[in-house]
Amino acid sequence: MTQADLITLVVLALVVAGILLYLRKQKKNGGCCGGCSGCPHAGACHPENKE
Amino acid sequence: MKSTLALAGNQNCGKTTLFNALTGSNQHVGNFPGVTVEKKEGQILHHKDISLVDLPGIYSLSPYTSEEIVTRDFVLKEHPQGIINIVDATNIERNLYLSLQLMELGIPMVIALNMMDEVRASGNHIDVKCLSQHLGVPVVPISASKGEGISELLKQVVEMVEKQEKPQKLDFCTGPVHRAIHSIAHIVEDHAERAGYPVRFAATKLVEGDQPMIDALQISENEVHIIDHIVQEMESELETDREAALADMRYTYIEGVCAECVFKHQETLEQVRSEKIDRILTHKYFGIPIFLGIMLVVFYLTFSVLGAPMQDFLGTAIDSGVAAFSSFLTDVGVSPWLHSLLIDGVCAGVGSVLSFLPIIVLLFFFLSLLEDSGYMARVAFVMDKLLRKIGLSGRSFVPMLIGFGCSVPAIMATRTLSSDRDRKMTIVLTPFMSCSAKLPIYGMITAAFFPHHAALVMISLYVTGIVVAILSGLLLKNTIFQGDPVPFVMELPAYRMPSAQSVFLHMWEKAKDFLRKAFTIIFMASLAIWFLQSFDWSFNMVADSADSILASIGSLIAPLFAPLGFNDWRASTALITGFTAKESVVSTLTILTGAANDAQLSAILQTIFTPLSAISFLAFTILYMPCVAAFAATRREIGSMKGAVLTAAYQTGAAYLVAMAIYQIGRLIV
Repeated sequence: MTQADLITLVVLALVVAGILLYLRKQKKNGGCCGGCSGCPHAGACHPENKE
Repeated sequence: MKSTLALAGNQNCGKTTLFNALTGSNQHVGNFPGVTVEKKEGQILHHKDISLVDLPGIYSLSPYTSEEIVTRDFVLKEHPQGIINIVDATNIERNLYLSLQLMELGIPMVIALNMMDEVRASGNHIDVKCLSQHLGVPVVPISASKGEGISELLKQVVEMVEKQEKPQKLDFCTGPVHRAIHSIAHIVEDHAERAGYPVRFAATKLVEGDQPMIDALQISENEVHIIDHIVQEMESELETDREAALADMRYTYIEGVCAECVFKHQETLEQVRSEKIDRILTHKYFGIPIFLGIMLVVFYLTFSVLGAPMQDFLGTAIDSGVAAFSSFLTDVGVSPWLHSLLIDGVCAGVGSVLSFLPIIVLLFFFLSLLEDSGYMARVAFVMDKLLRKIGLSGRSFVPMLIGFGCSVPAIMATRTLSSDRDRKMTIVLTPFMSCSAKLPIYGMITAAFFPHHAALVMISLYVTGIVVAILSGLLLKNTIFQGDPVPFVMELPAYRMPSAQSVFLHMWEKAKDFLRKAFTIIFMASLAIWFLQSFDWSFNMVADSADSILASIGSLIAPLFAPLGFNDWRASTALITGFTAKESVVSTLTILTGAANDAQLSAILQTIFTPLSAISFLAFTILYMPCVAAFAATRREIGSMKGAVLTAAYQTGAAYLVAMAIYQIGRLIV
């Protein structure tokens, strides 16, 4: 494994950890809706779905 | 001390627009009744100690619909320090009906008389001072969309919070209704005080026969008998039922006030224009064909005229970026396997989905225009007749319409349906409406097989979803969900010029949502797919992905799809990964085919599918079970895992049968 491989893998691991943390946080907060056209929940968060 | 105010009013009278103007937030606004079904909170601009709660639009404080329950619970249980009651000045009589009920609560109140610009434009006049004197609360003329009168309203709101002056007039009735309310008020005075409810409001609700109020006041059986006797006397004296008697009392008072304060000699220009347009767009026979025609034009503009060049441009930019990144990785000496993971896995997967961003944004631009103009509300009206035939009311059209965007909020929006039967049936049928996450799949297959008929293929796919929903509705209506749908009453808003701010907000929200999904779920799914298609069960890297873990799993399932015309492990694997998010079907097929660009992908897809099996694949994709997020929403709303699994099984079974019928019948013809 080259030095470039190591650096790339560390960066990739950090990105993956960041995404997992973000998804976890979203789930914990119950998730917030995007902006589906006509959606009555657009922009609203859903604390009732909190873990 | 921090104060909380409630913003209450009828549906589609501009509550959310006023909420945004007062708080500086950017909540979704739509020219469509029922946009707000949950309460939203924000701080009033320059007054951080006052927060404002945007409540769902309602017509009365009777607890019949979820919107009415949310609003009533808030004003009764949270004890706000004041109410901003927004009243549509162009429909003042109907709007004041709610105002009278809100005043009975004895909470300080300001009336924001909205859309006064439209009243002026039509040459009509409302004497605001006269109205304020008759109602006993401050009335401020405003135009929320143009920002007129907002500073004056803010001044009145701050004064209301500081002075805490309650509405000066609570008694609007005479004769038998007056006697009944007052007699009942004496009986329940102690109960109401103990429960923390205003006596006058409690007495009025008891005259109406409001069961939750009877329960909340804990009235004894004896007292209930006395109240019933008083109400029966009132009914026999007036020769009408209790609810009609109260409605009549309120409207008589409103008519009196309007006769003195409202000078109306003609309908507003918007109303006249809307009636003329409605004669065509909501026509008994032409309404649905016109809707289909409009959608065909929208798809043609989205997928052919405007979308295709924009998608090509973005695709080329992504390819150039990936090529530069690939050269960089080679130059710094990254090993081939890691190079493959990043380029053939992550970049190919995420990039293939990202290139559809312009299509998604464009489609939602057009849908926002239609919605903001007020046309989508007409579609719900036109669809009511059709929906009633399959055992649903027109109200179910709102969640179904939302389903064209995303199934998750659509399934959640079924909460607004008052009948449990209608709600469950709508949850089962809504995922048949093609959600926007499936667009990249349609785009990918259409580009490979039907590049010159994109709009026609798109509208056919959407129609297929609708037709299957109709047939399923007929089947369910006569089997599991027997019974009649609840009546549907919906207010048709006036046609308005869509607001640029609202339309661009919709587009931005949609783009943000799409990008968030591409760089989270699709990113992770691409990593997993690359790993599974690059290694065998002994975790040795394979030269040919046909020897990989994924191939062995996919090959097990692939024969199931042979009757549907695509007995290929890559296609079956893509359908399985579509369970995480529908866009994953595209990223999976791109990774598994090893295509470097769209042209290569199209060429390889032509070796996996024939045009007929491509149609069958598309049909299966539209109809089979929705993604994991929608499945979770179904489980939550239906209330059981068994119900959610049965729903998903029904949807997948229907998808299989329809796709098989298309392929097998198509083979006989072609």
